[in-house]
Amino acid sequence: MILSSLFKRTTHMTVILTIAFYGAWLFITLISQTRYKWNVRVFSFDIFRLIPVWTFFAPNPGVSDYNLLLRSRLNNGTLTGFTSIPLRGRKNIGVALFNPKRRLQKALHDHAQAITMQVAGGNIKEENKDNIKLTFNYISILNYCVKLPSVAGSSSLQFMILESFGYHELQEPQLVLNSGFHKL
Amino acid sequence: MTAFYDIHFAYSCIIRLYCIYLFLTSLEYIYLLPQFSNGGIFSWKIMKLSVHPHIGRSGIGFLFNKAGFSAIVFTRLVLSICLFAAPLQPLAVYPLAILTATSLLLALRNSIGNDGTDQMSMIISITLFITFASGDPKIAAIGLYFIAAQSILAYVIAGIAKGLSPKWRSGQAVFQIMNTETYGYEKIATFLQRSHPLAGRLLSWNILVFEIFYFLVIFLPYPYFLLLMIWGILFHLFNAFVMGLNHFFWVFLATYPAIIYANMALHHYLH
Repeated sequence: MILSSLFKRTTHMTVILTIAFYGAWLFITLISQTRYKWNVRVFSFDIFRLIPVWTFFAPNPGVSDYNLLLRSRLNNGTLTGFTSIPLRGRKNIGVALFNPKRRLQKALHDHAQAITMQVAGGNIKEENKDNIKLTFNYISILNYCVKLPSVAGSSSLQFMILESFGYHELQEPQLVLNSGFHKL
Repeated sequence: MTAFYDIHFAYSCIIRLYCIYLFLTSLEYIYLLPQFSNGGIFSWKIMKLSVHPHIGRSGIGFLFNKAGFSAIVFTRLVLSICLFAAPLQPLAVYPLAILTATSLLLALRNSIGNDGTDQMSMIISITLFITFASGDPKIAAIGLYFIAAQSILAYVIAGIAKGLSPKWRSGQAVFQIMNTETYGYEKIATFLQRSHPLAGRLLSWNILVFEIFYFLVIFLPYPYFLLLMIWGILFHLFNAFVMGLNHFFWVFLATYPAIIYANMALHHYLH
């Protein structure tokens, strides 16, 4: 390899522009770690997710697990019990190298949190609760559920998102969302 | 250690570590490919509802269905192997351009399921591309300072955010995270629950202090700054093995050569 061919000289202006670019990126990173009214708009333009948020597990760490449960209504009208859809992989030493289910679990986590925030933010109330069915998060989970293998003779299905509080149940599981029945 | 003050060596280390990250994430995406078909949780048919309508309707939609997505992922897998084998070839600018473009496409497509590793990976990818496209040693050095700055910011901001949280200061946070099935480990949670509250507080403050003072990695002279880096490696190893945060290890390790370079450049300047 010829190193000199890798690095050539460029103009002062290119160097200044590069410093300005990286400096601006660092500055925006710094001021975007907390969401204020004025910088929420900046995030809305960040379609490539270039602004990192570095507040891992803080200030409020995730202390719960989101669980997806499913039940069917059979053609004869009987209901099956809720069964849990396994989204988490088994914890073993291999997850240190290969842990694909982490992304799947994170997707459900993101959906559940978005639904919780919409309810907490007042966007979804008792009088307009059916609007939840029009959200991206609801449609995405429903799309995932209807494609899962179902019990023979199922005519419709219902899903539930349940928030549980760990191995040592710190509190009773809480219902995040109970969908209506959707025809298969 | 002085080898890291050689800009070429620093970049070759960053690229190789970054390639390991790329290789592993590509394999994970391949495993998850059924989830990117119409019936999957990452189905483009549904995901396009969450992106800007112009993007949803644009001609690049074919890159985001299962076939297009598979092509992107397999391309990244192959390029990660090629770049790992020959990280400093002048032609490396082309695979880096493709990797940067595909990183942007993945960020555009996947509005859910992402985390901090995707963002650090984007920072590394764009910086590598700018460095190789410019071919200027000054821009290469600035790129290393930038990667180092983002990496240090990541630790320090995470530390400050934890310091502001009563749960972290009291030590409850470590137990509560370890207690979750997603990121935790039952035996550690049980140990922390049965032990004196001081154990959780010690663990919590250990992370908090390390992260807040991580900026010292730039100012401490050799070999003292290595203590912070070794702590960082052990921290990420723990997160990988216990919490399953495997990507953080490789992508943050990829920033370490830039931090060592920045440290050495500062001390070289001071002397």
